[in-house]
Amino acid sequence: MDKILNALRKNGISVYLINEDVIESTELFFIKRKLDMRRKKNVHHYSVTVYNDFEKDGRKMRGSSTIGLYNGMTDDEISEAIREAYYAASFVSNPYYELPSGRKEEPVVLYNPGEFGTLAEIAGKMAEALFAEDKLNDVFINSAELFVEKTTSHILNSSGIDVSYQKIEIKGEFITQCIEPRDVEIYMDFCYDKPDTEALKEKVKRTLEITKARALAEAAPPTGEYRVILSGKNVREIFKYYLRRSSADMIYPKYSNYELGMNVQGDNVIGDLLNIMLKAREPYSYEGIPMTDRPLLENGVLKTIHGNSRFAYYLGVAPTGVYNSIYIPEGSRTFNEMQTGEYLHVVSFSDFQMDELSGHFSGEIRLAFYSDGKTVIPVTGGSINGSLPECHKNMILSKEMQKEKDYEGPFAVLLPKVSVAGK
Amino acid sequence: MLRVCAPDVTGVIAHEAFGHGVEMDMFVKKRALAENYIGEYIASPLVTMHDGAAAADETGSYFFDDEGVLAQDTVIIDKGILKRGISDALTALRLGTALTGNGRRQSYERKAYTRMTNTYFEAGCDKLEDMIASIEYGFLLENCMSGMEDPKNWGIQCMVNIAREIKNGRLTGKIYSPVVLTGYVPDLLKSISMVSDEVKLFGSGFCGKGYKEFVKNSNGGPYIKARIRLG
Repeated sequence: MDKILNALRKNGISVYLINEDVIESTELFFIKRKLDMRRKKNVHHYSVTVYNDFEKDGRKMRGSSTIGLYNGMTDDEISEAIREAYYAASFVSNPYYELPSGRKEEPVVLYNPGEFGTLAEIAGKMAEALFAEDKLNDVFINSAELFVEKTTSHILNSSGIDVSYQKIEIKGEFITQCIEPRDVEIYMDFCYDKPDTEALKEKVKRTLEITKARALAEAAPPTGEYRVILSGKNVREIFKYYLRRSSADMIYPKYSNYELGMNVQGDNVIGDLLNIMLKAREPYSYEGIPMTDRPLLENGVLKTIHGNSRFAYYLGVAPTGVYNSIYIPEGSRTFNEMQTGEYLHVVSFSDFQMDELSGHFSGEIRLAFYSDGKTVIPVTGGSINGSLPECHKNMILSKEMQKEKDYEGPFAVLLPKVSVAGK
Repeated sequence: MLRVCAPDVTGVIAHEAFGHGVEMDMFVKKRALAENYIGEYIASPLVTMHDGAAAADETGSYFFDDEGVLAQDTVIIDKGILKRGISDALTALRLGTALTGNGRRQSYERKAYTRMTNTYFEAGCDKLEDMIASIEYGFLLENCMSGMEDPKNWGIQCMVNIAREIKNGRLTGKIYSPVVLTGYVPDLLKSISMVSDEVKLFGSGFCGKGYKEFVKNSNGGPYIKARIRLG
């Protein structure tokens, strides 16, 4: 860090941001229940953003350029890289904006080895949890990857900010397989801020059940327009639409028309009005802005525009930092109440995508349950294609809740009038 | 229904629908249907497909992979017959197959996996205007947004931004957007009945193994005429 600060001084650069991350991890790779490979890493990253203030056509500009620096670089190499970045920043004609200011704060420690154990111990407990429900012969875990990562982040800028925090993240993926009557698989990922062995066991158990159902699914659902129920992590993808549309970097360039006080679901909402909280996963943003939980939507009304210092300055709002995590309280109907009449409950997609510009969502169905109002059968194949702006006045959220990466909220969402291409 | 796929859509079909299906680390895990079809016809005889860091001069090119294996040009499908897959060094060792130079990692920090490089279908002899003229009702598909692999079931999922309506051999001017391509890969490849005479590769995207391990690569091909389900 001292070498970087010296190089900045030597080059006469007075406006800068330095992000220093130390990442340690323990990684386990399994084929079936057998440990196939294990890895460890301990790496140190530096990211330096230099700001170059100049005038263009009588307007004040602030260009920026970000570079990566590495342990092992000499003083001269660091100085040259910074000098070149400063020169590159002189070509970036962004209108002037203020950087956040602050002071040195005590480190925030979110990971306590005394409470959770070492990274290797956590990996061992989570691996046990991963295979705890893998007890059947006809459906099983084909392969899995587990990463336990500790990150120590230090953020320092030329306006006095000097903050740091430490956190852990346990993440990975697993593939479940069922061979009879059809050889099928389901992909599932997971991510936790603490070693939540019970949540992982439950996720594996549910995925094994889904995989067995997929093996029984023979055909695609009939083509048509449906009441579609989404559950699990696909619900998170739906609500990411509101998170992105309320972001300053979408509003400033007019990719989003959201304004504070706007009723984002429109008037005459028949379904559930949305209440969404922005949740701070880290104590500071990458710019060193202290992050706290904030209301995003209250009964469908936009309460916060969130974003980094640049776009917030352009919009005349306070910079909040960039949020990725949300909390939504329970909805109005139970999951059972949603499953009445004709519907298609899609449990698993090859890939589910939400277009944050248009609000269109779509995905190929790996497993769904189709109900004609009398019987429910598993189906596979085909795809759904819908528009959230056309659905969200009539959208219903479940009372049952779930926790996924960056999302805590209703387990299921019911969307009316979604097109399904099937048989 | 018949579609004409523009080179960027052809490329995503080559990459997502087929390329991921022949990454042989999936053979080791018994996750790829393609393992059972080596030496078999799985496509129209008009189809020849390559992958290799030495197969093209594009964003997926290098002299040697992240395990030190020299770059190659691997012919995966030769005139409709599935010849071989691609592998990293550990996979080749396990399967007793030849090294193909496809061991790549997202960065020095990450594990090496079997990854694609430059993946494309070879050119044919047909002209685009003849391909459009041959369709009574169908679509010209352009501007692919994304795709996802399904090596287990050899399924295809691609999202495309533009589907231009074709009626009686002409473009009507009507556009549908977005659309989802789905179906079974061998059915799609066997239905290819026309292949244009020009290949384009596109290297602006990233490829993931699932939702992580991102590497640069390119994909592409000619215009192809095939039967594909749209939604």
